[in-house]
Amino acid sequence: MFQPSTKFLVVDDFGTMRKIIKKVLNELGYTNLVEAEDGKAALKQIQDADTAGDPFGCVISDWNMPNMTGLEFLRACRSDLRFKAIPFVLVTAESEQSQIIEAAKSGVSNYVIKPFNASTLKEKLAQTYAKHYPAKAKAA
Amino acid sequence: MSNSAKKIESGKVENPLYQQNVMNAFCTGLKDTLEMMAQVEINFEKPTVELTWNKVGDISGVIDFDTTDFKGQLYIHFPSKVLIQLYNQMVGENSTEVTPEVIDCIGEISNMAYGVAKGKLDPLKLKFSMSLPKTFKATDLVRLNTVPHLRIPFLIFGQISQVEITLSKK
Repeated sequence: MFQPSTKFLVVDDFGTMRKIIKKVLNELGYTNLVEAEDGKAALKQIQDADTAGDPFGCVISDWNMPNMTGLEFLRACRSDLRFKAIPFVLVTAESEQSQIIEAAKSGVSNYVIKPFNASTLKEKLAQTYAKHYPAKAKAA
Repeated sequence: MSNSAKKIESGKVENPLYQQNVMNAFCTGLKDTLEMMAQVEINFEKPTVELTWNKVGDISGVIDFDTTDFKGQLYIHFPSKVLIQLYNQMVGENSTEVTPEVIDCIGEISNMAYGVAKGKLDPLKLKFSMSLPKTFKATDLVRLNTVPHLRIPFLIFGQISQVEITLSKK
């Protein structure tokens, strides 16, 4: 699982969902949490954090947002060498198979379908960590 | 029930999308969302088709959607007290009044409820679209009486709230 010091970027246009995700992350022991309201703001946050030498360790982003969707944000990350390998979890109310395939093709690390509970998010984060850091996950 | 309302009986409703499986999809969407995110059970009452619109609840979440042949809106209306309690149970806070954060909550609820319903309706090949939810205070909600709307009341925290769906031919 991600180290307790991991810096998370939580992206959603609804404050309620940001609070729910942050609450679950807090319960899991994560306190280094930053929020953004849409993909555009999140992209700036991730770039600024990298420039400042304090990069994010994981992104949890909604899909359906104004200005820049979660999928567009994901693609922007994957096309930038600095963020190509960042663990990126999409959270969405959209469960259509074609959408999931589109996200997978764009390089999403994992996919959480809303509504969800704390144990689902925890499990998806553990899977995401194992996918990005298989050796460390195996050793843990 | 208003005078213009009529009970839904199989085969007697003009709009083909007022079908049991469509109604069930929207009801299940809301029920699953509230059970999962707020740990609360809701109980639906008999649906009606209303031909004129009367104000219901205090705060509403609205989602516009399209299908292959129809355009419509999903409304979820809550009394203030119910929405405050839902918000508190979802985010673990103790809000006592309707704040912008509490109003925001109904947008997320509408988004999730519609997402679940859409997932259940996708096999019907009606191609329901996804869109961004909006939130309104009931006093700010402007409605047209040109299309009939399906109204499904439900009991939550001992109070009546409502799901409404409008559908009209494109």
